[in-house]
Amino acid sequence: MPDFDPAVALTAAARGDQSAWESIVATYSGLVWSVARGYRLDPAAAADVFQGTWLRLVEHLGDIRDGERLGGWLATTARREALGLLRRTRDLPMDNISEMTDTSEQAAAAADEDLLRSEDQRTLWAAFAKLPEGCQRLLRLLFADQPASYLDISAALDMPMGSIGPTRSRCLASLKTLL
Amino acid sequence: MSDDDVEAALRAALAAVDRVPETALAAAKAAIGWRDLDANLALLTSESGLELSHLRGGQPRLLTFSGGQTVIELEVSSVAGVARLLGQLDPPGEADVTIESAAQSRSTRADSHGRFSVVGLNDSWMRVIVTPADRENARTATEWFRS
Repeated sequence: MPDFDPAVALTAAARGDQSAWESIVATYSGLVWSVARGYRLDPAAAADVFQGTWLRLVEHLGDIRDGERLGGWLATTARREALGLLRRTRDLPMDNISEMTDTSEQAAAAADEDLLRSEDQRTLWAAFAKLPEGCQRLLRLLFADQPASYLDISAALDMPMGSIGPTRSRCLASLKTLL
Repeated sequence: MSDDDVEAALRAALAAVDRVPETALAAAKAAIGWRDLDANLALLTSESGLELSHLRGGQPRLLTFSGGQTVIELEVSSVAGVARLLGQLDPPGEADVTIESAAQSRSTRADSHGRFSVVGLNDSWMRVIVTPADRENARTATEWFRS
């Protein structure tokens, strides 16, 4: 199987090449999904952010010149779309805000647990859910099925690359103490 | 648990919890079908009204899209999953207007004042494509926005 080259795929996709486009989606879908889910969005909301991110890429296919930037571009776009969705949907009558926030995050956590088979995994996930949001977001990207590069993580979390390693260690240590 | 065990367990949990749904993947792969090389892209240059919506659900947002020679202002409101758009074109004038989304495509016409309205749209990602009557080559598409 030929290695994926983002620059080549972008040029071909910009010309309307369906399989080049699909290779881009296949390569970065995990990253985009993990970024969306890192904002504690339930699967429906995450799907919304996911779709919006890909629609934006289609709009800007001609603009991304450097293939190495594609992952970061997608991660940044996903973050923006997630924040935009949170702004729009949490702009609720004042007395409902905290109630709705808790309810939607609880729904997301419950949906997450439903996807886990074993008791051990659920225990781990319960501990993970107690970590600060920043740790959850970082670990979600570092330990994803398609692990993200530090460059892409830096874009996704708006975090200097140099602090990723130390933060990773700190977050894993916190997770261990919660287990 | 050793560090390796924790990392392996986390990896396994995330593989299950953060698996990308097939429907989402399929929709993303189909997205290239929306590429429209003939239209000028009108980017969102301002968005307002959010600060008012804490007063009552369903308050409209005002979105302004600018691209090429056309400005498209949209008042977007959504109640119970059904959206409504009120549009204003600048320069004002008649135009063919199409609202596109994955589920539907609706066509209408802007009047001589550049105004149009569409009701009964499903909440989703959508865009508005405008072809002014007097300037056929000024076909303009707003970037995708959420109702």
